[in-house]
Amino acid sequence: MDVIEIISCPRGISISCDGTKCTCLDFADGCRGKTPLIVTVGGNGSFHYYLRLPQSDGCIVFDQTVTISLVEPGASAEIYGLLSGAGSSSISISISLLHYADNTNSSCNIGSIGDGCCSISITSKIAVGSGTKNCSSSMQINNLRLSPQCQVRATPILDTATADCSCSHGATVGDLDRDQLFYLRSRGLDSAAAKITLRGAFEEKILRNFPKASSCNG
Amino acid sequence: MGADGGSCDSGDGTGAEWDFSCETDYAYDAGYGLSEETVRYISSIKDEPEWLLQFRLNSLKQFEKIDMPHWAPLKKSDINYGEIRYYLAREQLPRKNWDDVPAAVRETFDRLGVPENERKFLAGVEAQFDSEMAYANLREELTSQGVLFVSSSDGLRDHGEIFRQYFATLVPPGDNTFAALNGAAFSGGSFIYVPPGVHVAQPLQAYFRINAEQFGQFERTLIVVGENAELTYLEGCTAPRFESTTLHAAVVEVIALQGAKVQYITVQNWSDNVYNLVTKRAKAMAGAEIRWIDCNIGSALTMKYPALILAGERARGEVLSISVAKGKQRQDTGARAIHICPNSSSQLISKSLSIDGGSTTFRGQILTAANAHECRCHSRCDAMLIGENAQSQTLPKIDCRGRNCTIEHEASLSKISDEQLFYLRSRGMGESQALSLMVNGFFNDLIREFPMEYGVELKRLIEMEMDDAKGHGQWM
Repeated sequence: MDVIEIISCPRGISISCDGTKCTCLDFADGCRGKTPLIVTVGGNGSFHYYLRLPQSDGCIVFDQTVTISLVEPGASAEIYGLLSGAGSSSISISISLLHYADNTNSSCNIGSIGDGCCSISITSKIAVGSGTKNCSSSMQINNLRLSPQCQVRATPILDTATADCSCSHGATVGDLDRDQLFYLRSRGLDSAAAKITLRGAFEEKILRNFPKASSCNG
Repeated sequence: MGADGGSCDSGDGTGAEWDFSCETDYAYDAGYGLSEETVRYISSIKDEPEWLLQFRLNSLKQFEKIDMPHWAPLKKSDINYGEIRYYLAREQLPRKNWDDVPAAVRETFDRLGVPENERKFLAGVEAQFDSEMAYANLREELTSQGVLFVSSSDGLRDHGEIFRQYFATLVPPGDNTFAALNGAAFSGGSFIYVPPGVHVAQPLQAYFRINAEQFGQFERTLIVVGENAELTYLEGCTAPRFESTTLHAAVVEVIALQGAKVQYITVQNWSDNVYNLVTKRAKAMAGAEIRWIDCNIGSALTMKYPALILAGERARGEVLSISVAKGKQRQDTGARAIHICPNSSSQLISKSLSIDGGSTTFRGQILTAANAHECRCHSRCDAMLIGENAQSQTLPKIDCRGRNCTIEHEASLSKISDEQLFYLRSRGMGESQALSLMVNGFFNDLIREFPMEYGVELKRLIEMEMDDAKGHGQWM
């Protein structure tokens, strides 16, 4: 078995591997089918997945499932995602990070921005199998709503069957901070510019983790 | 043999103060199994009005129809409903003086310390023994202010105009399987009414005791707190350890009217043969505050998700939950905050400890409705695992539809830190003492929220659970 095995992969995803490290760049659009991304990571392998769904005013239906299994000691995975929805888009992503071996690490940081009447649903799961030792995992989901009509659902799941692990997850849903907006306007920015600045700051927190060459493409 | 035909044994020798049962003569026994005859029997001996009989019969039909939700850790068929007795009582009316309570029942509550607590710091006590309240008393000064603290049967009979207005409004029989079961067979539980503006300074307490084997306790508690009134209510529950399954399927409805403050505290310490399947729901009107403090230590399986319905502007709710599961225990608990009005806020905080195969689950639901603007909710869930095969799950759901709402959820899972353990041992503590101290530290910020007497008791219960697990030597 290869250290990293791609069992299923949607079309349009770029994966490059270098030794035991694979980087997966996914600049998705709304035309994708429902093929899941399923990856197993073996001994000391490292899988990095970067997902960017740029905003489109059309009616986008995006439904993606990502399952990464860490099956041998030393395996690790990192996921960064930035999803933007507008209009009447429907965005749904389900991420599972499954720890089946000792000394495995994973992290996931997803941000979503919802505008218009879009619907965003993010389900994320960390599971640590029975008897595994010294695993660590963290997951963060932040959702920014730019429109009161936008509906956001977040379901972060933590499922552990061993005491010897350290896991955490967090999820937030909020609108633009009115104090921050007020501050920017008091410095001379108009309302639209202030909103764009705050939105940019939110995006930057995710995009700064993207590989350098790719982060400016979106 | 007691003077009234009852005697108490001392349990199975585990030394737990609640693990004993008393032989009693029951004047009313609905027999085994649940059928229309059982429901009619319960209704007839309580001399209930026709509408309530129809409510029970309708609930029975719902119970036969409704299945368990797909995520439930229990299938409907896992419980043999035909082997359970649904109504057992010595008498119908609770006594107002402990001296009038039958000796075996009085001895039960004496050993549990209920009369002593009443003397020390409670404003009123109800003590339920199997299906009916054996004792109910409220301090004179509260009675004169119009506070009602009676059994649900008395509430229905004597204060029907208030009781019927709110009864089953938050938990209708069609809500879930065990709400339907409760609707069909309910007996006992408290009815509390606090008139507008009255502050009940000291807590009211209800104590629920299951004494009989192969029995189901289905109490129904209804609390209505008037405008700008305040109430703290405590409930405790125990049962002796039997070989057979015991069922506890209660329903609790709390209504806090405008500006009211309600605190509902539960210390659940059922024995490990009890299925504890409880539906708790509270509704806070404008400016009202509701606080559920829920501690689950005992039972074989607990499924309990106290809910807050924030139905008025600036309503505020809080759920603080402690769960301990060891061995084969499963604590499937959680909290729900439903924001349906603007500017409402809620906080859901849970701490759980799983020891040696014990499993804890936190199911959270935070929903802000489309017209619920400017709402805030913070949810935190911390789990600690000790020993082999301990399990923990955190399953929150966030659904945000309102404008300018802020919702946060965070969860963490940890083990006993080797460094902290080493430090405590280097200061001269034994390993078990150090572990107990660390577990107490883990729970301490929630335990501080309990009234002092209960906080001390709770710490002691958690220490006993730890000692019990350590006795098996599985994680030392």
